[in-house]
Amino acid sequence: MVDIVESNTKFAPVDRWAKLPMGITFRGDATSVATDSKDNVYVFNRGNEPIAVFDSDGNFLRGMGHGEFVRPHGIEIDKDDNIYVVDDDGHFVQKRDNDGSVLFTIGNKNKPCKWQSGGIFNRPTDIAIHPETGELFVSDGYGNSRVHKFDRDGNHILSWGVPGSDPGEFSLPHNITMIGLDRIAVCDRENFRLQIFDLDGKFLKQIHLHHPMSITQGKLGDDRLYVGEMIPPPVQQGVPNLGAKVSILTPEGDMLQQIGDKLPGEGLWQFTSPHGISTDSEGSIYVAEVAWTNYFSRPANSGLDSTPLGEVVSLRKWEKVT
Amino acid sequence: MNYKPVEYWAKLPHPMFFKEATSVAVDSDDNVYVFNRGDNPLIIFDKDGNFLETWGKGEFDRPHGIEIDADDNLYLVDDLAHIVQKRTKEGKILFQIGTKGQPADWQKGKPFNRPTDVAVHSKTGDLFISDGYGNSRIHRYDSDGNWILSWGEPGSLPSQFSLPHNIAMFGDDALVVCDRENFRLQFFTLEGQFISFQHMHRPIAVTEGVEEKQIIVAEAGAPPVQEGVPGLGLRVEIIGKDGTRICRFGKGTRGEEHDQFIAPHGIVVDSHGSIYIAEVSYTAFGSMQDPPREVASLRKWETMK
Repeated sequence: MVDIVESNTKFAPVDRWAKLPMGITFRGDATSVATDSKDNVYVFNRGNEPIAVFDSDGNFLRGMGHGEFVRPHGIEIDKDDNIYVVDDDGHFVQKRDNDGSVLFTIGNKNKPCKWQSGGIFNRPTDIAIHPETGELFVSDGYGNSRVHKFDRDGNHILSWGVPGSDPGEFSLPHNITMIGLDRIAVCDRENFRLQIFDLDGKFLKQIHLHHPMSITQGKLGDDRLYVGEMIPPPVQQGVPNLGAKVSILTPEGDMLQQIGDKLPGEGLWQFTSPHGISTDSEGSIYVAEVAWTNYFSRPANSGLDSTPLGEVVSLRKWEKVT
Repeated sequence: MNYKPVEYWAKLPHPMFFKEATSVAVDSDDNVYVFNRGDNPLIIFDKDGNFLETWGKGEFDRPHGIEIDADDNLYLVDDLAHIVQKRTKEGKILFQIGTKGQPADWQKGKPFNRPTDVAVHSKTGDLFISDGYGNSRIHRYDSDGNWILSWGEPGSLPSQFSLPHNIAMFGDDALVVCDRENFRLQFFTLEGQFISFQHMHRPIAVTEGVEEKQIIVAEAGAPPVQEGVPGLGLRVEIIGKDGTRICRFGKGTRGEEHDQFIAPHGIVVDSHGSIYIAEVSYTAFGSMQDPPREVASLRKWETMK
């Protein structure tokens, strides 16, 4: 049982946590992160080892998936330590065993459905797994405005959502998680809200947040929601306290606290683009960032007058401190 | 309640042009005042769209917001000049708040750094100014332009703002602010106490409706990542005092058709319930055409008989 986070629980960043062997980089985009039953950490990234695995001390264990992905976007791990990866530009979702062997693929690689048609898929973003039934919920995505539900074998059950801003409508469903056993939370990113649904897609409520782009619920009885908030649009570049933080909420959506600094940046206490998020059995928080794509390569977002030459920080670990 | 667009409403004397209409207000005779970025910043029409008068040539850096009080005085907000002026409807300056061309420090809370809009209390004449592109504040002044109080700071929590872009009275005892880049309306008491917020798609313009505590809100379109996706802003909503939608109009896609919007930016309703929408269409669309051209930036919608 993890100690439950309250508003006064203190977190601090772990400096230089991940230790990458020379020659392996995230290429600026550690898109998403998941932890397994042993607290090993799987980083789905856009470098040369797309699934990079670390132990909880940040020692590199192994890499998988070299050359097999078009554009990594989301990762999740089930209770049996199977790996689910979401490739947005590849338009597919895969279940792999813990060694990386493909068990099944949903969608056809490089063959999207028609844009905004509601089919399967057009640039899917993320996946959630029901801890008991193994049912899959996929957010889809950049070219669709849907959530799809599949059974544990990848058979389609139902889909819901249309483009728009009313309840049950989406503007870029970007991340998805289970809440307990009976609810789904979706980061409706460009609508600046979470939407909560039951397992049949019935809208339950919305929770207003700043540009939410990633979400997870804690593990082993930790019922808190951890939400990565994206930076504001370029018109508000440089204005403090707008996103680039992780908000920690109760399962009902009440804000307990935020971690991260007032402004985005490369610093230890900052975030640039918290694009994927996970926790482990200790209650530590891992944040994967598309730091290059969303920040350093875009002066309108970063305010920088040049782009950095080398690798930029795109994976953060924060742990509880007493 | 249903609305339909009035096609080709404004009749501009050749070669007068808007470039783009930023904001719009109506007086007690239902005449329509369009604050625009063409060579004639203030252009006045009757309710049938016939040209009446123009003034203000060369007097503004960048028109942004306009309001008219119960006595038909005008309040004009010039964001790049960092000023708010009270004028007679003939254009004579009565007073000015702020110093032309002299912004306050960016995001420090002093008036003004690129103010956006003004609301006027119908009984006291107190002014409430949203500020703006370079600040995250609401400022309250008395009817003579004396500062009373300010509130707000940058951020996304209650009472914090990410680009307060428009403001309107909400009855006699409250205000509503378009907290544009936070995708919400925020409601405050006249002393700046937070009351509540309401989620909207990028609300950019707000005005009081014809009934008490009814508001009319224009929603801006989606960010570039969602360009072309239907149903994201580019619509107008009338919202009842309990926060529920009374009606919504506009196709919800960007375009030049009569039932579409390009970039709603200012809104007002007249005594007949007709709604005028000013759009910064040149900035958002016309300037990007090859060659650049003026496109529709003022719309009138009326209730269907």
